[in-house]
Amino acid sequence: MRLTIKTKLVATFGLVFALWGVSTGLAVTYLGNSYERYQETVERDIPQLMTLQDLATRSKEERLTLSEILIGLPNAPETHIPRLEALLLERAEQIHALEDQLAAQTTDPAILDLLARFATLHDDGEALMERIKAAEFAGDGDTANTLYHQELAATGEEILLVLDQIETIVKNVVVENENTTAADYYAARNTMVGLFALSALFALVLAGWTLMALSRGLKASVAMAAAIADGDLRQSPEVRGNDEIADLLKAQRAMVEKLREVVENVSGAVRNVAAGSTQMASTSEELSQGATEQASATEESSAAVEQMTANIKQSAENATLTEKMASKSAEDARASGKAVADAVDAMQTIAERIMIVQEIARQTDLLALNAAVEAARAGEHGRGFAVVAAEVRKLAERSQQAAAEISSLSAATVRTAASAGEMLQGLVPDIEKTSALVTEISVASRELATGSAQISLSIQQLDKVTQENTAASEQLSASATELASQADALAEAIAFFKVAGDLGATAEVRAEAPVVKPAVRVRSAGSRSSDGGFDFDLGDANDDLDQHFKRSAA
Amino acid sequence: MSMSKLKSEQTLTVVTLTLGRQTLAIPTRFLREILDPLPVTRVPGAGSQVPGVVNVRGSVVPLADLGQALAIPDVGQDDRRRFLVLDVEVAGEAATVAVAADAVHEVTTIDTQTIEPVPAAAIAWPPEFLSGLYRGTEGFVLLPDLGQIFSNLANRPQAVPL
Repeated sequence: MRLTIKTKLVATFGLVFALWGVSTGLAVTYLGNSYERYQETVERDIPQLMTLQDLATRSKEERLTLSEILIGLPNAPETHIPRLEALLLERAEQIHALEDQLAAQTTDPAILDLLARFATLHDDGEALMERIKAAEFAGDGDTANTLYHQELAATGEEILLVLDQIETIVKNVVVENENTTAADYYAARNTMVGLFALSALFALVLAGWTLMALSRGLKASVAMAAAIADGDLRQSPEVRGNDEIADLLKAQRAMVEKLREVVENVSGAVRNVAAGSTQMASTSEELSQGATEQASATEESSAAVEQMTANIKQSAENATLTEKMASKSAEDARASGKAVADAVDAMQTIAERIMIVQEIARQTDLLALNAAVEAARAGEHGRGFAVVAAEVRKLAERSQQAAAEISSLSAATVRTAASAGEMLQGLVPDIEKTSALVTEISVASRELATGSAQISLSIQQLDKVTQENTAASEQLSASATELASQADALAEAIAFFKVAGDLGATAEVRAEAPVVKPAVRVRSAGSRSSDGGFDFDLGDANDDLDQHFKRSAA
Repeated sequence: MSMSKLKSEQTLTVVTLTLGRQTLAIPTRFLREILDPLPVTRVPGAGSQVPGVVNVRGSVVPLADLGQALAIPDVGQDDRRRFLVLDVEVAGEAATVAVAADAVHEVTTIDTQTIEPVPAAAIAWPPEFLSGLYRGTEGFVLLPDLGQIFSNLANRPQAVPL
């Protein structure tokens, strides 16, 4: 079962309340008894006493009334004696009534006995009074007076004695009641005082115990909170007990552990941020430098592109001119082709004509040959004709030869011209293709000019952007430096928290590390030297003795 | 025509012509005229030495192939080809014969003293068809014995009788 403060308090209060309850119960019981006795006294004994007093008074009044009858009144009215007799009767009636009343009020046998005797005595007294009255009325005043003073007085005394006895009994009852009540009161007082003392003791002891535990836990908690406020996160106190304070301490310890973890994380992150921001600062400086270089390069590019644009425009114009020239060349080539074709036709005509000449020459040759034959057959007479025929034949041969030469020349010319024509014909599509290509080049270079103008514009925008980049990177550099200083400030701020990973803690760890090592080494050395000897090794630099020396030096 | 008959006169006027690679000389007295090649009508059953006939100014003249007779290899023809119409005696009868020549060169007069007999050892041609030869400007010129050749052609059973 978990013994929490609540449980403790509830138990303490419960115990105290139980004791109080017992005490109150006792008091109520005692008070009830007292009340009953008081009630008894008030309702029974005091009326009895009053009734007794009335009885005594009435008895005395009865005697007094009788004495008034005995004592003569001079000049007494007629109604004087009857009235006294009536009064005497009334008194007797009252006494009977009071007797009955008293008998109803008590159960005590002693009182009832005494009351019976009183009734007897009273009856005797009444009978005596009748005799006295009768003696008086008879004129025997002396007898009446004697009876009155002797017998009636004795009876009266006896009556009063009885009444006193009854009164004494009643008073004794009252006194007894009072004594019992007083005894009860003392008993109740002692019991209640004892109970109060017991409960006070319990309450004190339990409250002290609880308060001490509470105070001790709260003190530890406060100390821990104060340490946290001082930034010391190294402590993690042991928690004893199982109450709310222990819960608080556990929660605080968890908080400290969590805080320690967070602070370690934060300091690691801060270190990283510091390193990163330093690197960022250098990088952004490099960036700024690069952006500046880029800006200058962009300006150079801009100038180059503008020059290029001018060149491209010039190229476009040249291409347009070339296009026109190519078109003209194509037309010229076509015209040349046609001219060559005409020339070929002419040459062919010439060749045909030359054939005719050749045929004529051949036939002339044949005729000359036949003429020579005829001349030869004519013998001496035909000798002159033979000479002419020979000459004609020579001429024919020469003309034939010349015609053949012309024919071959014209054939060669025709071939050459045809070849030239073919070449020109072949040249035309090439030139047209060239013209088309030059047109495309012209269009392309115009587009190129437009494009290069756009490039120039873009490079100018790029230049602007680069300058903005330069400014931005310089700003970034400044921001990175600022960030680095902020990270340092943050590191200083977070150094306020002392955790196990801090410098002091690591120093402790370093100091502790050699302490653990020698213990192991000593044991190993001992096991090695169990045969009584030892290894004298100067070469081992890491033996335990050296470590001892180092530690004592430190 | 025998060598002696050739040398009976001082000079001899001949027409030189080319047949294949060989130059021949035909005396002008046999020659009637020189013509451009004429359309040849082939005669069925004719031999290769007289393959057909030609129309010379309305008369039918047999065309003899001297190349076949003299066993001169044919080397092709060009526009210099001519037909020579000859008046020869065949077996004592006058006859007109046409011969084809690859080219006709000239009418010339030679000294009969320069004509030499065909060496007997030479068996390249049938020696009976040659009268002799002489040394021309471009090698030897053969003198065919036309009477002998055409007589021989006429004597052959398949030869066309004139």
